[in-house]
Amino acid sequence: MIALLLVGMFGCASMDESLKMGSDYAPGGAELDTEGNQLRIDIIPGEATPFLDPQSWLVEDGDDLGDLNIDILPSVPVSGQLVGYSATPYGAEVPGADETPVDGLVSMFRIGTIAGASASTDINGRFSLQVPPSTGYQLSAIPTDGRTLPFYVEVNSNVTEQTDLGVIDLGYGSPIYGRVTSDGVEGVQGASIRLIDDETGLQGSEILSDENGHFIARGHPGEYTLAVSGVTGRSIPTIRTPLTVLEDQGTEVNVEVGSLNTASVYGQVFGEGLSTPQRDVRIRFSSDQLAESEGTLVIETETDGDGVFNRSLLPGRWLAEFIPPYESDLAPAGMTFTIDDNQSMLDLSDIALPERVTFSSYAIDPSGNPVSGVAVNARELGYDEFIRSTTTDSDGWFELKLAPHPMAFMLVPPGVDFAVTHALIDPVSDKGSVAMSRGEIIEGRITSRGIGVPFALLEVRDSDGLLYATSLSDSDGYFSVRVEGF
Amino acid sequence: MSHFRPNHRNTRHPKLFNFKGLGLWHAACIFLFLKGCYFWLPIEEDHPNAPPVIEYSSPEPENIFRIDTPAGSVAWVSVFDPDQGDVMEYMWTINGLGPQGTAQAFMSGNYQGSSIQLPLDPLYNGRVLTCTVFDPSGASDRRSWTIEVEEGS
Repeated sequence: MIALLLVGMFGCASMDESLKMGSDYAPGGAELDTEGNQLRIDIIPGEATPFLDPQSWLVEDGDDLGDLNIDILPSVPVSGQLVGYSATPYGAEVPGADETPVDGLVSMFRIGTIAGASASTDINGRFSLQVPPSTGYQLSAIPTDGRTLPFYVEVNSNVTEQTDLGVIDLGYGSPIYGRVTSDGVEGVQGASIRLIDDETGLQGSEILSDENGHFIARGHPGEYTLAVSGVTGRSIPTIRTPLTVLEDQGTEVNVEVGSLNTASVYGQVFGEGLSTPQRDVRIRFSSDQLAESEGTLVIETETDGDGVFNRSLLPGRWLAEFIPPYESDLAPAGMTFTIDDNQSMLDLSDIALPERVTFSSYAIDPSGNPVSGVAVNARELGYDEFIRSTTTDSDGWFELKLAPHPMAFMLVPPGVDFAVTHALIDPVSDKGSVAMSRGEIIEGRITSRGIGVPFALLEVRDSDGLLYATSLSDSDGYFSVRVEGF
Repeated sequence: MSHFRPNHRNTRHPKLFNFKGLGLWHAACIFLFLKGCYFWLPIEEDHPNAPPVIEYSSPEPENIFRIDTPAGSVAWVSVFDPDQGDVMEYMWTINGLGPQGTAQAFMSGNYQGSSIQLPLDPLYNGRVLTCTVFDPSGASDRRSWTIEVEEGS
């Protein structure tokens, strides 16, 4: 509200300020550096600035971390029309027509950041989406039917103002065809097939193999990976096959998934002491090595009201993770097992989940004095990475009920005297305190056209997305946070 | 890791007073005895609990929580509680899916809050995400948003 009022009062002045940013002004900060360890600040504006969308600011090497000027802008519309070849155009007397409207999804994402949006096309193939002005967007257009049309991807698109992309013509592409078989001969029906662009990692829409295992997809010339996997209820290992699509040439790819003879794997999940069956426990089976395939497979199921589960799995070495609901007093557990060839059943017997343990400790400063008001987040390593949170009291003390496994702790201090501090702690064997580190200060101001952006959430991350700090800008858009060295 | 200090403090309260074996209560009793007052009821001031208030959030109240990027989307709330020192508890739930386990707390000046990142998953489409914040006395505030997942993203 305050920002709106200020914008209303000083709108002209702020526009001037925006113009003063000059030709070297780059919305969104630096360009993405995939080689170096680049600092990224994600900004998720709140209700004080409803005209701003979530976006990222990439810090340039040499930027003064003690005086960052982050100017973010309201999103601008990007529109256009998606067309392509249709073998059966509506209302045509002669089959086959170019530039017919395409049903599909158009997306623009700034790679390595949180900025971007997607929109489906309408009946005329038209689309409109809103993205924050920035450099380095990836534009993609994926037709709903990947059997008849290729997808389109373009990297390093810049958006600085309202943009009409005009007509994006998917054309016709080249066919990629083949057959999915098991045991060398039998066609596999209903396998999921996706074409993945090697350069961008973009996936085309899902195609299902027919009753004889045949499939066809279409792609523009380039390097791709064809990923074959199962759909819900089908134990088909994921197999990736690299391929090259050439201009006006078909590419044949046949995929052998091995034997699909499964074994029934069952058991019952209890609490500690095997006294109470546990319902709604999520069980995730991940293949370590399948007996007859180089592929991988992940299958999930849940226990019923009696704690019982039963799932069909392929022969091989497996890891099973048993994950109770978040609110349960129990902790997750894991086990490995092997299904031999020609084995039809495997009883995993009774699985006992351990209880969460009470862990208490202190947050202290480097001199050993307690630090109060610290937000403590303990994240499980693996499983579903559940996070348990609390805050330290006036003695710097905190207590959490945690799984009896090593946990990744993140301690967020209330002020800027200390950095957001990370520690790896085993709640069973580790006894002691967590020393808050001093770290390095990052401060500055978030503005939009020169006006401070109040009460926006900031997340400081590295190139891999690892979270270093979380904070909130103040009423004038200023922020100050300390992070450990990155 | 290096920030964990083993065996530093293993008691609940740090020792604040020590004089040749006398504790704080010993000293207080001796003082009261000498002053001729054997028993004195502690003075209790009446501080009614003030409930926590969600002041800011993203998305805005009653708005749509849209998930349409490969990285998913972040929702957050910031809370102001007039009772200094109150420890907040946050519960993020999605109708039909129950409590969510990936939210994390943050502190910033006079504000504390919690954020959650939900992945791009059609499972969430049309459901309602709710964040409820409780103070130690059980007083609470909450906000809800309908989730919209861009299918095919």
